[in-house]
Amino acid sequence: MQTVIKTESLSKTYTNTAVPVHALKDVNLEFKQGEFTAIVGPSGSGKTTFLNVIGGLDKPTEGKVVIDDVDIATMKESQLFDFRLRHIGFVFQAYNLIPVLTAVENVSFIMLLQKKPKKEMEQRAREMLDQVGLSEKLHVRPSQLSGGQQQRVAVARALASKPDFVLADEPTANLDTESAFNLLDIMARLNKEENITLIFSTHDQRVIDRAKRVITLVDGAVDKDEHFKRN
Amino acid sequence: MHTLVKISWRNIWRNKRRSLVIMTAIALGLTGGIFISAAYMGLMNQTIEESIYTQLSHIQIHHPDFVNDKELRHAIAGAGDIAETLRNKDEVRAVARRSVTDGMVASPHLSSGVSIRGVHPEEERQTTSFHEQLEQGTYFTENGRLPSVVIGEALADDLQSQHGSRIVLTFHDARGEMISASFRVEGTFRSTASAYEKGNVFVRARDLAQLTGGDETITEIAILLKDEKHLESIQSALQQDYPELKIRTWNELAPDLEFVLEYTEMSLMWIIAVILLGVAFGVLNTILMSVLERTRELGVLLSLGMKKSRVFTMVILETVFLSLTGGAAGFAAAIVLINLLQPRGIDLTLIGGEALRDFGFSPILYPELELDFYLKVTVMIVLFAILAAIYPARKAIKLQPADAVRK
Ligand SMILES: Nc1ncnc2c1ncn2[C@@H]1O[C@H](COP(=O)(O)OP(=O)(O)OP(=O)(O)O)[C@@H](O)[C@H]1O
Ligand SMILES: [Mg+2]
Repeated sequence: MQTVIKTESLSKTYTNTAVPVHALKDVNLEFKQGEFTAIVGPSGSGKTTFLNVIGGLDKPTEGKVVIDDVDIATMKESQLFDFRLRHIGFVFQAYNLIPVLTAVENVSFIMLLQKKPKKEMEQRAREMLDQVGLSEKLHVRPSQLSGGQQQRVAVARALASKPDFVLADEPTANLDTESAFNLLDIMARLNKEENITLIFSTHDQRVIDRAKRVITLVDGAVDKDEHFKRN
Repeated sequence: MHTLVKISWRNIWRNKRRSLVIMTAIALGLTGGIFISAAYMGLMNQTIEESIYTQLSHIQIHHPDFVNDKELRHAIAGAGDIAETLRNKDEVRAVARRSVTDGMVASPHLSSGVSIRGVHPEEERQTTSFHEQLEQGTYFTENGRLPSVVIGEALADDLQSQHGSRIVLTFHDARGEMISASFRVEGTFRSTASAYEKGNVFVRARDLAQLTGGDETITEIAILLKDEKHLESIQSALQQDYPELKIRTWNELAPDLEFVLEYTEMSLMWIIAVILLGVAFGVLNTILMSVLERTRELGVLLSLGMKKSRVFTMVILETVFLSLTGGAAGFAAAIVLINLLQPRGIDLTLIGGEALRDFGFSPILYPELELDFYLKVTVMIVLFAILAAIYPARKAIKLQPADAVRK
């Protein structure tokens, strides 16, 4: 299987604090095409920092992030924007959506920025919303959706443009158990069907049990990297 | 682009109350600014129209030497034929021939320099609306023993003469001989400008000819057009036909009028600019607040790969939409106000506007404003909105996506 993301002695130190915070320490990881990986660890262990750095939202203090054989540190800012737009899907913990756009407009948003043809875009957006079980809510704005429904729209948006991989930071954190499982099922299915690499952070044991690979961070360093056989 | 417009437009309605407050501020400021402008421009246009229809007409023809030396000896050769040709033109409404000369008017109390205007009353009736402005007496309907003269009210006061009084006019004939003759005041007229009332007296051209013992010497031909839009084309046509004559349009005859009009418009634009500048700070504050409270959302947009230039444009668009909506409301209110007051006018004599007459203005104001003015103000609104938006928009794109999405 092809390696999509590789980190080489990745470190991130925040120095804007009274005492420097070593949020990531010498992280060397590889993610292969189609993986379904959970990043776990206690609060403050560096999960968000890790996802931000590999997603190009934040710069490492040391080490490199190599995506499809390109060191993203060598990209200019505008290239990085474009790279994110074309290759990475993001799902944040909450408030992912553009409040003034309807569900279907939100899902279309990335494809719109990618200048996909209108027809194709609309069809794909509907299809994705259908996949996450929201075909009834196409023209509803985020404020009229529940937290779980909003996260499903965010997942639909992240996957609609068929990125190489999706980074999801605690996508289930604000959801009740049922919604959390529901979302996870959707993610697992899309991972399988569309072969999209999924990396998500969580400290939710229910969710951890579903992942095929679980990476545990402790104080910014990789503590464990386990693979499980699940279906 | 379409989506950016949609998002921006919807964004301004997210905090309805805050947006409405600033829109109201813009609207009120503009209603005031536009209305005052309409009042002033109305006043100016009225003054110009008044000058054209009572004094200047659209175009005047003179002998070139007459311009600096207003004497009968600088007559227009073949004036009768010229006037006849002009009357047959489609664009021309009326033509009046005049024997104009500088001279003196004297009563037992005072003598004063005036422009003596020998007219053909029947032509003058169609060209200048003087006969409508008579305060006392009649306009060349009497045929008494003495020739008639019609003078301004202000001059009548100075001379202490009135309807029926006898006054003496002195001038040079076409050969340069001094002529003095008695006239009877047949009527007095009112003009918006008291200077005009004091500086002009009207007599029959025929009477002047009789006094000089020769034919009528026409020194001025005034042309009133059906539509001002033909002004330049007629002027150049005439200049071609009569290269030896001086042909001037109203704005060349009274350049100060044109200047005052331009100057007034300029000043009003500045007043509106000052109003907009004040409002712009309010707009800046509103947009800055909305950007700051959307840190997370903007961070998400940047994270997803929306370019900074687009985020910047979005904030600019929001500001422009906000300002234009307020501006449109202001325009609407001002237009309603102007149209309400347009038919009857605003009577300034109630608040001491009588003194306006001394400066050549009518005390009744009819507010009016051309489309062009609104367009210029619209451009200003957009410019000020963009200026006000730059700081908040820069703030928006300085956000670090990683920090912003953590908020
Ligand atoms: N912008 C920042 N400036 C300074 N320190 C930061 C910043 N962001 C994160 N940190 C610190 O870096 C460390 C790692 O934080 P991070 O948010 O990556 O942890 P996390 O595993 O995502 O935690 P949580 O489970 O609570 O989300 C923490 O000690 C945190 O306080
Ligand atoms: Mg986190």
